[in-house]
Amino acid sequence: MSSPLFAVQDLWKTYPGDPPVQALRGVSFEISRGEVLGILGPNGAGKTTLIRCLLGLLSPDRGSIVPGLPPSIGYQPQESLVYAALTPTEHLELFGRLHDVPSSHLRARIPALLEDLALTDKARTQARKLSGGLKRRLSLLLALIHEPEFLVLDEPTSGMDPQSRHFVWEFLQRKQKEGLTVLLSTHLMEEAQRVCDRVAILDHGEILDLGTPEELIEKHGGPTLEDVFLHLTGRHLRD
Amino acid sequence: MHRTWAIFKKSFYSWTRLPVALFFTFVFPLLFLVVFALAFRQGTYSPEPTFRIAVWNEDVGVPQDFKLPEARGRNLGNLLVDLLRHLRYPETQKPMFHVVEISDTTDIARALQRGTYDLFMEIPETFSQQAWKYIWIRATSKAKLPMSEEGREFVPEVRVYLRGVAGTLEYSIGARVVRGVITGFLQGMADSLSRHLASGTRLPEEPRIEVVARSITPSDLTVFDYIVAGYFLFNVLMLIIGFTQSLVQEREAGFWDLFRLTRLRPHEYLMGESGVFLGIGWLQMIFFYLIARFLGFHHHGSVLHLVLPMTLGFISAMGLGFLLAALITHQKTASAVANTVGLVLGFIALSGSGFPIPNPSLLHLKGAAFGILDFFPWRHAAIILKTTFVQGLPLTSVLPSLWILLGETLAVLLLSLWVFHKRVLSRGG
Ligand SMILES: Nc1ncnc2c1ncn2[C@@H]1O[C@H](COP(=O)(O)OP(=O)(O)O)[C@@H](O)[C@H]1O
Ligand SMILES: [Mg+2]
Repeated sequence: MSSPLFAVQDLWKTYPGDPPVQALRGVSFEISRGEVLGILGPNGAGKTTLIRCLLGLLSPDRGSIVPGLPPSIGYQPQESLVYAALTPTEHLELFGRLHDVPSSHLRARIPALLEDLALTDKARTQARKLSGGLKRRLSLLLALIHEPEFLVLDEPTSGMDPQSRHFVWEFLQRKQKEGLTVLLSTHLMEEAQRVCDRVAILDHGEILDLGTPEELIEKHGGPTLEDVFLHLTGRHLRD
Repeated sequence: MHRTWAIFKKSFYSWTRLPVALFFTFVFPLLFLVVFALAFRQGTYSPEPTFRIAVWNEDVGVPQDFKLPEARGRNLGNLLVDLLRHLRYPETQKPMFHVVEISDTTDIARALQRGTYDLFMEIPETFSQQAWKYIWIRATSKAKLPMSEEGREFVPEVRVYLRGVAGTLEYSIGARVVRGVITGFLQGMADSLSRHLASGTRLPEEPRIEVVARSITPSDLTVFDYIVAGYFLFNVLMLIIGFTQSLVQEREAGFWDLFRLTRLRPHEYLMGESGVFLGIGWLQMIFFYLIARFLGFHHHGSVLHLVLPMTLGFISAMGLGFLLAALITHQKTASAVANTVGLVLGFIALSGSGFPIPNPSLLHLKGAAFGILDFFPWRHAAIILKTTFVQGLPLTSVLPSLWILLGETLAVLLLSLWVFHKRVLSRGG
């Protein structure tokens, strides 16, 4: 692997409350330039908390990022954030301008991006009329409008039908070939296996193991990644 | 600048493409305006209050051993009550006082608190005696007659007792008017007595007293004209509810988190959002101004006197919206707070600042009671609107209100900017 982009060191986060929730308990990992790192974990494992602490949207109780985040980051939150009254084109213009992308660049880039995720037909449709899957794809584009060097995706294909999901995976694979560094969270084995170079299995705020899917399967002797996952995280139901 | 503009466009579309928002900004308030016009545009109105005063007259009259035989047995207390009862504003002939004579004062404090009366006046037993002494001394000195021994060493105190709820406008204005009336009454009596002393004629049965008062407000204004001014502001306050809610929704959804990862600066966000709010506010104002004109609204001041206080009103409302959006943690609370604030503000608008309930003293806030309402910038915007835009008086006549409005607007704005920098759009919040 190439040089590390940054390292996350010993991240702790407890949500106050009764009882307090220890969402992260000493998470550490490194991410290399150009790799796709998957955070694989069941619901409530701490994936979203990890991502938000990483991005500085939430203050961790302890821990650091060395040497720091790259300046240009694309972020797709777990909930699709779109304005009901704006069209996909207007969304891309908005976030493009907020990232200081010159208008002239945007004019070329927006149609290309819409084409990439098959949103061209809906370019002038207000978001209130888009399906959940389309909104999800749009929010992925919003993370890419300024051509960031580091992309953070929180369950990028949740709520999508299998067709869209495969379509998005192919898109991400193309992006990866272009050299983009990606951190994505997921609870889908197939997603982890198909798009991620390495996978960190997270549960109860701790990374249980980290490696390429093949390494993990071999190490834990499961025929599939799913078996490894269930072996590591147990079979009891989550919220 | 392009980032501010991007935020502006986003919010502008979000608002103009929402039929509900359009309805509640233009159509719904229009209905009210039409109803007000139909109900209140006939007849003229001048904001002259009628004070409700309870009087307990214990005056026993001038004693029989009084020096001036003609004065003996006269009851000046009754005369004073009668005078109050018949005083009228010169232009409108509206009575200045509604007098209720009472003989039982046990419940008076409660009645004042409840607002049954604006004022309570007690005329003591010795009122006539003391008043006559005062009148006599003043009249003899005025007529340049030798003063009696008694007159030289005795400065009579003429007393009535006034009670009211401190802090209410009615009390502070009413008390002044009553004081003015009594002074005028005594001096008038003394003057006519001195004339009679000088000419040696008999004392007249009834002194003639004139109260000279002149309204400075134009007399062609209707109730509707005053309502329109308040109504403009009422709409600002309604607009801020929607504004705050949309800010909170945007924040709760997580957009502010997305913005934190862009180059957007807090002041750019504030400017973009406020640009939309101001723009809508101005649109609404122009729209309702034109409609109101069509419905018969007239004003004596320039349109500038509409735009200035309205703009300051908008900005202070906006600042409040930003503060609420930044400080309140849950959307439900935010909605509840925004609604409550809006309602409270609505009531303020309705309770006299916005709608024409008498407030001549608003022209001179200084000596007047400074109540809780006086802390609301929109009250001052309403005062300025009514005085300068509707009545056509110069801005200098509302300087205190103007300063308060300016100061509060600036303060709220700086505070919201500070809060945003501190805890909202910076990373790691
Ligand atoms: N704002 C919050 N306050 C309290 N507890 C929270 C909050 N957000 C998440 N949690 C709890 O923290 C744990 C991790 O949550 P999260 O990071 O959202 O997990 P994931 O994204 O893997 O589903 C869960 O138990 C969740 O209930
Ligand atoms: Mg999550």
